[in-house]
Amino acid sequence: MARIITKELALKIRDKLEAQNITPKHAAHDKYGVYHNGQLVGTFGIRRASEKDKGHDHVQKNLNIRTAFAKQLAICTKSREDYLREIGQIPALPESPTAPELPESSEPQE
Amino acid sequence: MSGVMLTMHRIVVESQRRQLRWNSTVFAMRENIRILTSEVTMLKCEIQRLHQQRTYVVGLTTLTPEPFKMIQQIPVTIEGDGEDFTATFVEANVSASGETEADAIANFKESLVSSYELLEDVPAGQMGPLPARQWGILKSVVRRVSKKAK
Repeated sequence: MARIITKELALKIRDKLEAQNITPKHAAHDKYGVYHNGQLVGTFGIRRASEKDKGHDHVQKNLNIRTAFAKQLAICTKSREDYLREIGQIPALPESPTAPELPESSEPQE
Repeated sequence: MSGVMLTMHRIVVESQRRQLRWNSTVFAMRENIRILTSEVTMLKCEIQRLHQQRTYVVGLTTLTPEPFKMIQQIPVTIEGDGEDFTATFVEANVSASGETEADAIANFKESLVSSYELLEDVPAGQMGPLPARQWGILKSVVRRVSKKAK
């Protein structure tokens, strides 16, 4: 893989998603869970290694998001809410806010 | 005499013009060759990158040395470019990376098992749609062979 998501970016994603460490005992690598309203909505793994550029291209697959979205999560343009919206946990924002319909103007009758 | 001088002058001027045209043609050709060389170099790099990029599917049949057993073979997609590899069980969103194919597969097995161990402890009501789907698939392909350590 082209090493799009490095360990450094994966850690930023973890912080951005406020993911909790839920690594099972004896697991060789760390596992993080994303919780929303008391429900586990996503999990992903981070490799235990000191190198910051270690490949973590699996993170976007674990989280069920596109590579570009994962990168945007890491580099600040996307938020935790955007992620929850992306995976359908919170309703999507309307495309363009529509103005409330005004009642048809009626001519004053004389 | 002056006629000869005038003819000679015209020949010299014409020769100088030709030289200038030739020089500008050579300059333009050099520039084109430079651009072409740079484009060929870029194409060679792209071909090399595509040549190195490999994607294939292997069937995973065992989780040895983990205390788990595969109920059925699962397809694991290996993607890599020679420097980094990912192994993915697309259906269950389980994926892991590694520096080599073997490393990626070993990490994948570990990730599959830790996902199983993790999800088996989560009550159904506390599982979102994605983990619930993952758990449904995982328990249909993996089985614990030794008792869970308390």
